[in-house]
Amino acid sequence: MAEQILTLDNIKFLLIGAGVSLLLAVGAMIMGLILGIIGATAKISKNKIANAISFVYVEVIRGTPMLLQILFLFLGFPNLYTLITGNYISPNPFIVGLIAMGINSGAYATELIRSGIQSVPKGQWEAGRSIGLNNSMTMRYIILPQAFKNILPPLVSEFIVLTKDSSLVSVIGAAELLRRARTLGATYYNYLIPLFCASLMYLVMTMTISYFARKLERRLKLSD
Amino acid sequence: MINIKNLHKKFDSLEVLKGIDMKINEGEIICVIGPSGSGKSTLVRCINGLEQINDGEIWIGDKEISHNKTDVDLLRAKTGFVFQNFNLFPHMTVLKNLTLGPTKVLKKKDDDAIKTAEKFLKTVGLIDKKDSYPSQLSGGQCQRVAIARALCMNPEIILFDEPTSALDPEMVNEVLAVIRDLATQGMTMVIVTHEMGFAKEVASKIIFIDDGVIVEQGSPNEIFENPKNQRTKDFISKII
Ligand SMILES: Nc1ncnc2c1ncn2[C@@H]1O[C@H](COP(=O)(O)OP(=O)(O)OP(=O)(O)O)[C@@H](O)[C@H]1O
Ligand SMILES: [Mg+2]
Repeated sequence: MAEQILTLDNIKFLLIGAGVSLLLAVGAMIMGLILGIIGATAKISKNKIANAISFVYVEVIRGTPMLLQILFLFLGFPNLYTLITGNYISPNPFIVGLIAMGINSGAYATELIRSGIQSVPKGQWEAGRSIGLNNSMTMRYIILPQAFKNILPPLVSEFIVLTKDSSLVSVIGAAELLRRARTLGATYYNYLIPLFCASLMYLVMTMTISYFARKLERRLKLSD
Repeated sequence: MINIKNLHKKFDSLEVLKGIDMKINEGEIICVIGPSGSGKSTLVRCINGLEQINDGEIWIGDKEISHNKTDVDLLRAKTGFVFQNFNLFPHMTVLKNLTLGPTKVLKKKDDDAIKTAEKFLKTVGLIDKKDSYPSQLSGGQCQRVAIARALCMNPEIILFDEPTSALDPEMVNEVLAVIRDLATQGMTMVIVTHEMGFAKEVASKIIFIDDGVIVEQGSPNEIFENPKNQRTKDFISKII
């Protein structure tokens, strides 16, 4: 049985799935970081409206299941679109999955980055401003680099969670790793081997991320 | 050069500065002394726009700057500030600490900024530390880097808030030596300090602040040898 399933073609089929999963995670992480910086800035700003929007965003996303968010965007949003415009759309599962994951990650990143920014001593703001940097330059060159250094470990955890949770996108049909493992399982009437292979690939991905994160952390420690 | 008129500063209901009038002329070295909590730090922080003032005016040359955001940036670029606890940027090398402002604010070219930075690192005797991180320096060295960082912005005046108070005693002198050096080169400075001997030696004018007002000002001789006000007398006799 194993020889039948573990052909070069099938392994390649799974590896491409792993690539898709990783792509989803990386894309969502980048989107999440951008949304997180915006969200965190809004949260600590003096603007009450910005505070409120950021608050609602974080609470809604963190308070509802990611699976539901993916389904909402894939199934619910097209209904809304039809209701408003009268036209139909059939969204691409990969794109929708990526956007849903990015929005989800952004909420967690908002809280992380906010705590990172607030962990930088007030004197750093003052020093930045004392050499004439304006607020956004101080944020960019002084505060954010230190904030990211402080929150690197939880950010890496978030990235690992995203790598694993990209499997949720399989429910809307994106051909990522878990989806492909199940396809193989259905083809050969054997789920054990494909699912086992998929877990190995998830493990390799998450452990590699941890390894490089530790290396990066050690390098950043130099300036402590 | 800088003219402060009737400056008031409150923190919530606590009035810390209660109408300060003060003139800083070019080349002057003003030492600000006074008891703890009297408002010395608050005063120099207001001059640099680190604190928003509640009332009064701050003039630089013929421009009133205290009420307009872009003017405050202008004010900061023209005035250097040296903090008690240095506030170097820990994630940057010494050289990067010095070139950040000149490249981003003054829009200098990289090699120009580096040249200037190296010049001032030589002035403070730390050129061999240019690639170190602040965490690898002693307190005295950090403060000298902080002074060099302020100098790189080519400021018209440098404000010091107790530049030696966070230092171990054996490092105080190396920092004072750098400030003394600037004094002989004619740099305009306002120095909040508890180092009375130093104040006496370098100051062209001493300002004694107590409870948010300037109680007395004058030459070092007038303040230290012949204080007129009773509060000044008490303060001087306590610390000498
Ligand atoms: N950010 C702030 N918020 C509230 N109160 C403040 C703040 N900064 C200073 N104060 C108060 O203002 C008063 C004056 O403080 P300031 O730091 O100017 O005194 P100082 O003369 O520099 O004292 P020291 O010699 O101890 O440094 C103090 O009572 C202090 O508690
Ligand atoms: Mg003080």
